[in-house]
Amino acid sequence: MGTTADRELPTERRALVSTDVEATIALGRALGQLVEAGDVIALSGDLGAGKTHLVKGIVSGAGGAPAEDVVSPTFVLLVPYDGGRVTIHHVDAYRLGGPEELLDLGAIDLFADGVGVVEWAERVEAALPRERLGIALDYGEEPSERTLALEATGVRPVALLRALDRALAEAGWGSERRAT
Amino acid sequence: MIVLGIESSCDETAAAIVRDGVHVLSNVVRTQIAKHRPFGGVVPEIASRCHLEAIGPVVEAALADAGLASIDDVDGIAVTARPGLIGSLLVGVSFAKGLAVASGKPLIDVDHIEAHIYANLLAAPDLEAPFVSLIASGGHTAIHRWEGPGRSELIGRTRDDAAGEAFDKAAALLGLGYPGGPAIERAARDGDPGAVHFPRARVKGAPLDFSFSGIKTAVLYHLHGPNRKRSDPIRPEAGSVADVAASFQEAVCDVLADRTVKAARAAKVSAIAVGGGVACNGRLREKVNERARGLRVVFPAPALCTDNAAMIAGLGHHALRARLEAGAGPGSSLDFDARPR
Repeated sequence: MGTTADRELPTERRALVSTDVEATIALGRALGQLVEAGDVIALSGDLGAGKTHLVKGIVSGAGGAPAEDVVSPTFVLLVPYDGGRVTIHHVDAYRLGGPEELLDLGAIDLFADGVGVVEWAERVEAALPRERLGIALDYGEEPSERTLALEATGVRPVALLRALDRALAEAGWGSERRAT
Repeated sequence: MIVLGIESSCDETAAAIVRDGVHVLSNVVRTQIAKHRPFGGVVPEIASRCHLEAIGPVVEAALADAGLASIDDVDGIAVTARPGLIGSLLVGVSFAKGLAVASGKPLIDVDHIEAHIYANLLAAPDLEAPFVSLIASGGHTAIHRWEGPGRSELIGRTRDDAAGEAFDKAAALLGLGYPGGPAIERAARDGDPGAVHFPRARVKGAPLDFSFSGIKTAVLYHLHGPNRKRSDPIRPEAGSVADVAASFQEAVCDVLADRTVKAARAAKVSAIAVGGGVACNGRLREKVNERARGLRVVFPAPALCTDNAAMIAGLGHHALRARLEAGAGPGSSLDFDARPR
């Protein structure tokens, strides 16, 4: 039996710089307007890198809840925001012991009829579908600056990433962008 | 009236028996913290499976500790229905519904946050409404104005991390243990709270709201240098762990105490009641008491601050009494669902 890992999937990458928290939320909002049921967004990055702020944008962009209502799910582990056109399942793997606990949580099943947005995805990578949009956040050169490394794997995630390119260009999203 | 309370909204499986809404006859919590420490301490009791294994024995222990022979000796059952992790909530709610059907007892669904506020009335039954409540825990940070059961108004809340979560994450950055609250407080005992000035974040246009996400970055930058990563070495000029822990604790407690006392003055109430796991912090108790001159201040004992089912049974008592006074039968009491938010 051929494993999915053997399959060649299209992959595209972008490197973005967000100037501040507001720009990170705006990026998330643009992404939230584009997501569809079945999409999985895997967020990685250290404490304070801006993962929850990005999710505030994604949830509000999808109409799930106002950005100010989206808080860190570190303790509760999984929060569904179902007020919009598609349910966003906001998951936080910070307290999870490993990929099997993400499965225990039933999170992967939920992603089929909604959008899965997973913080600390690096802790549960083996349980995530290979076809996903990964976003790695890191500290930038200025105190409020963050770098975002986006990697889309699979046909749909690549299409999502390209749609995000267009949306950010139209919105004049105010950061320098470097292609890799 | 004797009420059985059941709580399973997050990590703890808990059951308790409370008489007349204030007398705690038993309060059983099955916690996983000790069990998980050998694994690095961050493994939560996520699996509803764990709640499922625990809930029967925990309820039996609550009945036995209260000197009750069986479920027949209670007048009603109260269960946490929201907010929380849906899979965990469902275990408690399903168990309680099954127990209610089998025993013929009425069932009450309870809000976890409102029950945390109510825990102050278990600690201080003479506490008079209205009062202002601060609930600060790993999962929640909120200020309410309490008028009575079913009548509390949210007037302040965190926009990002909960206060207890900030303690846990700062403890992780400092290489201290889990849970972070007690670990930071222990380390802070030998430290200077004025050694480092960490930010006291304000939320624009919402003077009673909190933001604790920025202080993580502030601690990280202080330890490793501006715009550095956690993998970078800790700077010598960062100072001692005790000083950083004490300064961090000072900043978080300052903000919690400041907003809560402001809220109480603005709401013109004469009492402040604090709950949630962070209420166990000694520095927070000092800070609130310092600032709340002229106001009564209630901090329940730790067993009533952290997640427990006595607060569920206590609050449930009032809804049950109201329902019985309205002449409603138990028939409609199963008509509710567990809700994550």
